[in-house]
Amino acid sequence: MEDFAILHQKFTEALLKPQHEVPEGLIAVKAPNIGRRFDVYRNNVMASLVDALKANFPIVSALVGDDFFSGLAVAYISDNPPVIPMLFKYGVEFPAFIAEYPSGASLPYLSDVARLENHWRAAYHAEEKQSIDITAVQKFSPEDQMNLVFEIHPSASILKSGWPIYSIWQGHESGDMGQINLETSENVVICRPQVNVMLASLNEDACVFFRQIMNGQTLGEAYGAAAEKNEEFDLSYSFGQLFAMGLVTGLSVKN
Amino acid sequence: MTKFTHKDIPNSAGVGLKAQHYKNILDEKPPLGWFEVHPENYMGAGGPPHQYLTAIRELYPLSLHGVGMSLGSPVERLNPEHLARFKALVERYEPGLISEHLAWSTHEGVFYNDLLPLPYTDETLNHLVNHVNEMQDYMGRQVLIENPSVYLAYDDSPYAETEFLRQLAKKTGCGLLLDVNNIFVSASNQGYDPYDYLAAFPVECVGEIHLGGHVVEKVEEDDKSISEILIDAHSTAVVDDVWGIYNKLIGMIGAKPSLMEWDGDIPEWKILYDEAQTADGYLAKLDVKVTA
Repeated sequence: MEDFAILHQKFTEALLKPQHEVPEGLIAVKAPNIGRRFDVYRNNVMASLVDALKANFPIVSALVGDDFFSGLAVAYISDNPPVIPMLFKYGVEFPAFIAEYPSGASLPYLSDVARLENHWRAAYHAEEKQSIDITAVQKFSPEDQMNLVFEIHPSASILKSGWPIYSIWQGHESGDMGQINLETSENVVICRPQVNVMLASLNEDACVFFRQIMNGQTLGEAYGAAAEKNEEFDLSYSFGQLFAMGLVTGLSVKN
Repeated sequence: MTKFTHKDIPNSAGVGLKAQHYKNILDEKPPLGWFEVHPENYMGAGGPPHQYLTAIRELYPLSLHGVGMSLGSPVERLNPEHLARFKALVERYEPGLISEHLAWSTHEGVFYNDLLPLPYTDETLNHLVNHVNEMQDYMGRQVLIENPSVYLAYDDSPYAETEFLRQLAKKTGCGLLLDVNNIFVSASNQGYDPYDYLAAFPVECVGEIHLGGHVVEKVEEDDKSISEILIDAHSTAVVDDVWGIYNKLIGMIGAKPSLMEWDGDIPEWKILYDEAQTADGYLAKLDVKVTA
């Protein structure tokens, strides 16, 4: 018989690329349609991976409908099959693929929605860590408070977008997509302090503030950068939101 | 978490745990022997999957049934990262049983998410022996290997599947997981009698039984005749023919851990639980017969 490795090579080529012929040497019962039986494997592979992408990108799937999503997914799978046996991680390159997908042009925000779903899933599966309460800040003197640096929850991330991705996410959650103004752009902060993944939209100055804090700048530096963006930046609101979202897991003073 | 040791999977019905049923199970705490999960779904660092599985593991024994090790790959060594992830779950959840498949799913770095068929030759047996030994050595314990459902076989495959599994168990000390639905599906697709397969199977090595449903598709053959292909979809109830094979098997080997698998079109919890009760019913009748 042929070498074991060559046989697997021919089998897999025919699995994902239907233009490859079914490998020789396969048999079934009398008068068998070998091609149709090989298709069971092709269908199992493709359908299970389409389902995996649909599970990982439920909002993208809902926005475009099952038929369009399946076509998009099959094209993605053929070019970017999974490389690790953990399907909840599958689809890292899906947003970039969507951005280049020819008939995706009618939904230009779709790629960013897919990026948001990747952030959501990363938060969902992230390491556990206990968030701390805002009252912990009171242990520091007023002078020290402006020099505070923050330990950030492992599930936390920020996504900047030129599209109203927070409103689209919220519309999907509530089942009401009717009132979304596609002319707006939204930035989102994502965190899962306990069971539920939490999202909040951030305006430009708050986004600068959150970014600085998450990059290890002091409270004073972050405040300065946000106030430069907008001199009416609301520090107490954003500072409260940082803790309310569970983003902070520890505090220390930078000397 | 030391409430259950690995000896503790009872010789009774268990259910494949699905995220859709986490809350039912924690609310109702149904009387049931054990649960089984695919470890690949719990290989994230944290989050609700681990939170729920931890809570359920406090109440029930657990089995880990891998679908991603690709023991049938023509490679020198198994994927070390996947072995490490699997072992971390073994240490974290202390499963009563761990199992994998007589199949392959990865080739040259691509994961196909299906259990693909192997020819049964001296060369493939040698690979399987090496890989099962590697997995058992790494885990520090016995692994059960499951018989596949197949749609095609290889022309050049000198071993019968039953003999291949017998040799594998003999050479590695692995146990076997016998899926009775897979027997029925493969037998129908390959045109043999499922009871002949059962008679030839090394049943003394069986440490766990799987039960599940399949779907039937019509296919036009090259000579225009119509025949059926059975597809192991795990999306329906167990059919009477498969219960028949199950009943015969437990008559031969006595009660064993018996898992109800339902992975597609997942029904409400009660339907799955009732299927498990049916398996327990067969096992209870066996007890009566044995005592009588």
